[in-house]
Order: sequence, then C-alpha cells, then structure tokens
Amino acid sequence: MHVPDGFINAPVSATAGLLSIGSIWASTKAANRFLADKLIAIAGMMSALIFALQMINFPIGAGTSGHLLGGALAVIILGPSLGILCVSIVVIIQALIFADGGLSALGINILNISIVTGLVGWCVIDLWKKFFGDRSSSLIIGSFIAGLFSVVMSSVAFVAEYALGGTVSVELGSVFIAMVTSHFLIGVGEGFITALILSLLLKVRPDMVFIAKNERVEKKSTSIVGVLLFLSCSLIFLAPLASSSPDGLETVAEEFNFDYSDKTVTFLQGYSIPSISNSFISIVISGLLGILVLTIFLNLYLNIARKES
Amino acid sequence: MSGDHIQSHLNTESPLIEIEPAQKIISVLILALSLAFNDIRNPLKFNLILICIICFVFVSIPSINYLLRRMYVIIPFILFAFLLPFISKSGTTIYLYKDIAIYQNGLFEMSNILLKSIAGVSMAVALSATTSQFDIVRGLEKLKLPKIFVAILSFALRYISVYISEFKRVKLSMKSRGFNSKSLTDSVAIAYAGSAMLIRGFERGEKVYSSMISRGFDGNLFITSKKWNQSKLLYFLCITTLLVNILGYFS
Amino acid sequence: MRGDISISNLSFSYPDGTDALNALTFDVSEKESVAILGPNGAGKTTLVMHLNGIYSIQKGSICIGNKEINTDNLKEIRKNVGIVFQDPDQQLFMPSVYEDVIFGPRNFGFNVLETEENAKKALQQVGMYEHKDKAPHHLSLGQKRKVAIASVLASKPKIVIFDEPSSNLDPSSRRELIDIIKSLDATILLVSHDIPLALELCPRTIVLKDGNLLCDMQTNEFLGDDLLMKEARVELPFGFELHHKFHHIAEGGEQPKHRHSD
Repeated sequence: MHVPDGFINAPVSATAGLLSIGSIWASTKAANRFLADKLIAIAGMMSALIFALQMINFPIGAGTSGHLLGGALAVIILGPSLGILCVSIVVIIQALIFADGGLSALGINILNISIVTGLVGWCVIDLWKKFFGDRSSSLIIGSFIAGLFSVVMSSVAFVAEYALGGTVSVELGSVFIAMVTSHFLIGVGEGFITALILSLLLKVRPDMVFIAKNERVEKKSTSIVGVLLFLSCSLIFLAPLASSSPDGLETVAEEFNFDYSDKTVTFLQGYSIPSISNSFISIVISGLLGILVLTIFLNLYLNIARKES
Repeated sequence: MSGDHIQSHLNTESPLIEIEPAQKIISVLILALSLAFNDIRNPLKFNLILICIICFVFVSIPSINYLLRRMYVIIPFILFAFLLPFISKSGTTIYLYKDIAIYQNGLFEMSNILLKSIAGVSMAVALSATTSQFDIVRGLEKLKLPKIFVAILSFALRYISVYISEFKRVKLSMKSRGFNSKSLTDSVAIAYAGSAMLIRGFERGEKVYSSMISRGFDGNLFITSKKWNQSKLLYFLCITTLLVNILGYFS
Repeated sequence: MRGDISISNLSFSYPDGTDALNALTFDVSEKESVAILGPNGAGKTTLVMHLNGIYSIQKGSICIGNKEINTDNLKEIRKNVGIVFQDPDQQLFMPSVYEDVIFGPRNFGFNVLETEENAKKALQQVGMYEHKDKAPHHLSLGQKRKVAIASVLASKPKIVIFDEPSSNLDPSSRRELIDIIKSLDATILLVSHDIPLALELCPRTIVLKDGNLLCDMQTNEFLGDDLLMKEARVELPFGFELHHKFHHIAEGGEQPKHRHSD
C-alpha cells in the first residue's frame, strides 16, 4: 500500500528520500550501460506496462482477488537495475499524477515498493539460480519465493521505518505482527502470480527474460564512487541525530520544529524504538540501517553492471 | 492498487491552469514539506499551514465531490486513524463509558494523521486537477531533473493509456467468451493475458526505438518549452508558509 | 542526395537461421512510385528496415542516391529515407503532435526556425495543423496516421516509404491518405495489401515471396495476370475486375520489366 503523508516523521522520510534518489540515479546509470540509446524507449515502455499490470485483478479464490506489486517480477525479467528503475517510475507517476501516496512519503514509498522489493527479489532469484540451476522449473519456484520474500520484506521495511519514525505510539510489537502477517498472505499471492507469469514467458519468449540469460559480469569502479557518495550524504544527514548528548537532541528537535517539553514524550518516539528507551542506540540503528541498505545495493551494483556480449 | 483510473479531466475553470507547472510543483513541495515538519501540537503554525493548503486546494478543484472521489486510496488509513484513540496507549486515559477507554495522546495522533493525510492527498489532487500529466513532467524538467529521467517519465505516461485500453480490450474479449474470473484457475488465463502484454511490450519498446533512430535520434534530447504565467497567489502562499516555518523556529 | 535506390544482392537471415531475404536486386529511380506486394512473411518489412539502416546489411549492398549505406552515413541516409510505420503508436512517442513532428528535424540538424517552418508545412500538408498541441492518444487512428506522415515529411526526405498506410482506415480517411501521398514530391515505396491503393498510386509493382523477388513489372500488368497473382497470393477484391483501361500495354510504350525467381 502506498503510505500517505503524516505516518512517518520528517527525518526518516527525508532519509528514505535520499536513498531513493541515490538508487534511481544508480539504477539509471547501470541500465544505461547495457541499454544505451534504447534506455528511454525500453524503460518508458516497461514502466507503462508495469503500471497497467498492477491494475489487473487476479482471483485467488473465495471471491477475493489480488494485485501484482511487480517488484520481484520486474527484476526477474528486466534485471535489477532496469527493474528497480521502472517500478520507481511507476511509484512516482502514481504519487505525482494519480495522487496515490503522500508526496512527503514519496521516498518511503519508492523505498518500500520498488527498492526493497527489487533488491530482495533479485537477491533471492540470483541465489536460487546459483544453487538450483537455471532450468525453467527451478526458476519458476525461485520466482515464487522471490515474490513472497519481496512483499514480506517490504512490510518489514515499513515496520522499521515506523520504529524509527512512526508518528503514532501503537506498540511496535503489534504493528510488526499486523503488518507482517497480512503481507505474508499478500506475498503468497504475489509469488503465485509472479511464478505464473514467469512460467508463461519462459515457455514463449525465454530470450526476453533477464534471469534466464547468461551474461558476463563486469565490475565497474565508478559505481562505487557513486554509491559511496550517497552513503555519505545519508550519514551527513543522520549525524546531527546521532549526537548522543541531550543538547544535541534538543537542537535537532528545534530544527524540526518539534515541541520539546516533558509531556510530549511521544514526539521523541520519532527517534526511538518504543521498547528501547535509550534514544542514542535507536538513532545509531537508523544510521546502520541506511548503511546496510546501501551496502547491499553496492554489492549488487558491482554484480549487475553488465555488458551485452 | 492504484485503481482503474486514468488522470481525470482537468479543471478548466481554475485560474491555476495557466500557471507555470514548475511553480505549482514547488508550491506543492513547500506545502507538503511544511506539513511534514509541523504537527498539531503547534496549533498556530500548523493551522496557518493548513489554511495555505486549503487555499491552494480550493482554487484548484471544481467541487468537493471531485476531491472526495479521489480520496478513496487513503480510506484504510483513515479507518486506522479512528482506531488510534483506542489502541495508541499513551498519555492520560479518558473513560468514555464504563470500561471503554480512550487515550489522550491517541486523540492527538488521530487528528494529526487525519489532517496530514487528507491535506496531502488534497494537494496532490489539486496539482493534477490543474496540470496535465505531461505538463507536470515539463515542470520537473524545468526544475533541472536529469533529462533522461524526464524522458523516461514522459514515454511511460505516453504509453500508459495505450496499455490501459489494450488491457480493457482483452478484458472485454475474455468476458464476451464467458470468462467470469471467480476461481483460482482463472488466474492462469489472466496471467496469459498479462504475459502476452509483457511480450508485446518488449517488442513495442524495440519498435519505438527503431522509430526514434529512423528520425535521427542519437542520444541527444531536445526539450521544448511553452509560455506560462506566474501566479501571485502561489507566491503569497509559499512565502507565508516559509515565514510561518522560519518565525516558528525562532519563537 | 538524390532520391534513387539501388539494391544489389541483398540477403538477410535471422539469428535462428531463417532466411528473410535472398539476393534481392532492383533499382528505383528518383520520384518513382513503386508498390511492394507479397504475402505475410515474404520479407517486405525486412526489406524496408534495411533501407534506412535499422537492420545492418549482412550481405549485398544498398545505395541511396549513389551513396552506399554504411555505419558512417546513417544519419544522412535516415534524413533522406523516411519510413511511415504501420503502427502510428510506435511512431508517435512524444507528449504532443507538434513535438513528434519536430523530433526529426531537430535531430537532423535543422535550426529552430527551419524546424518550425517545416513542421508547420508538414502538418498543413496532412491537414492536422489545428491539432498540433493535442496528445497523440486523443487522436483517432486516421489522425494518428496523418501525424505520423507529417513527422516524416518534416525532415524533407527524398524517399518516403509507407508500410501498410491504409490498414484499418475508413474510406474517407483512406481517400485523404491517397490525396496526401499523391501530393508528395518524393520517391515513394508503398508496402501494402491494399491492391486498389497500389494500383491507384504506383505504376510499378515489385512482388516478394519467401524473400525472393517474384516479379517486377507494371502494376496493371501484374493485376491482369491471374496466374502470377495466384503465385503471389494476391487477388482483386471480390466483385472487382480490372478496368479495361488498365488492361492494355501502352502502344509503342516501354517494355515492362519482368523478372521471375529461379
């Protein structure tokens, strides 16, 4: 679901925004490397397609129907860079033009819906392919797992964002259980649809499916510079928050126009995980989370800068 | 997830229709960010910002119904907000009736979220009510977003309607063959349609590329610009909002 | 660059091994109008994609106005060889009609004033100037086809190639299309299944079958030859007969070119 304005506080939304900008930049660069002049036509077309695919109702029995998020499917058939780019474009179009998802939550939505699903989906299918080979049957099962995990991890990402910057004080435990269990069911549907579509594509046009192709891997050092740049940007942003002295927190609170007074303890929950009373640790966790995401991205980025042989 | 809607018709009666898209986008950004950085516990500032947002929205939309129809995406979140006084256990407890309690902070949080999410959606609806989708993209380009990114957005928008009509045609032809899409196995048929669309999408992308190079495309993008007006009202709203934020910082 | 085409021994096969074109050889003079007929899969579209260098030449050569197509002069070739594709949605990818029409000239180096001039003329030529700010998906098929033609004409090509221009058009749009094509001052190649269209616009017809050149002759003679038509899997529309005025071979006129595949 696209998160509206007001649910996640400003610092976390802004961090997510930075991460999203970095990932769109990096994925555009990577996709450009192997598509060159074709990038605009292919990325534009596939983004439009994914947008349309998300509207399709897939009946999953008992009168209910599910929808495809598409993050895992996108990276499986387009590759990680193009896949993440296309789904990000879809989210941006939905927010800016169809008012679906808050504008201040755009970073969060891009992060959850395209980046997390894309990265997780890619990790799963890539590892699955390495372990279980690239026969159709194994790829199809792998795509189911990729779809499932991508949705579940997307909800976990939301819970993490909530923990770090949720504007309500519902217990973290309850939020976690509610989000993850409901998204597990959604994930099963997503995995099923992803696997179904992939099976048909592999039958008819396997040459179009990225994961089914075998391409050489090339490491590009310029990408490291790029991703490190954004890593440092995120850290610079988070550094004032990471100041452990009360003075530091006070200045930061004022900067963001929060009422810093005794009774408004709930505000500081914007910076802390409710069950952890030490706010310093939770801020550090926020920073580490950002670094973790970027590190995963960095690793994958090195592996995904490919050239068509 | 986003429902079966193509961007609704523009509100041709709004004065903002003639206004530079880049200015509208910046205004929305300033308002949205101010909304994000402020809270109901600072009632003066928050309400001033809300008033600016309401001005922007009312000048843009043709009717309240127009706005309400497009707010269905946040309904689950609104419902969740109404639960908050009951489940957000913090602050003083207020006993409503016998043992049913609500929590004061929960009330605050509920109003906070309701106001913010509704204001946010309204702003986005207001923007798309006065700016065609391509003009929004042109506005982004004017704001110095990378050309290639703007081009991809522009192509995606161009072909979304092609796919939506194609999808509708497929749905129609399936229905006219008695397809009812109730059971799980019907998903297979739908997936067939989906994968056919995907394949045609790849091929169409290649064909569009062929068209592009046939007309000399070599990677350089030329963007055209139109003549627009500036809006005094938007300037006023933005400056007011910024002042509210800055003065609030010092008070 | 002149608008004549010279194709010599052009062969092409797809990566999976199927032969699409087999040693095609023919010439087209400047300002000639030639129809290219043949069943589906005969290689017509493959041939067309060679003529502006979208497909790289595997074997053989193509000369446009005495310049052989190679990787260095592709831009000049494409400026002078305009292709109007069958699917206008593939050809109109910009947000507005006007932007689609100026796409070509801007890429080919026309300055801003020339581009505006050319775009205006091209749109007026197809009768779509009033729609210049519209988005392409708000146009009907016939209107889109016209805009697609304008987008090609705006670069002032010497050769214009049409791929199934009349498919799915209603009769009045079709008539408008014919008028537009008749008014063009360029070499015309017309790939079509629309036999009356070919007869009305092109005195000469080349027929492809299975990648080979089946025949290259005057259109009226081809349409008067039932056996040949059958071999080419072509037939006149039901209830139509070739008008007698098309039957005669011009008295004392030029000999028709006649080539059969071996």
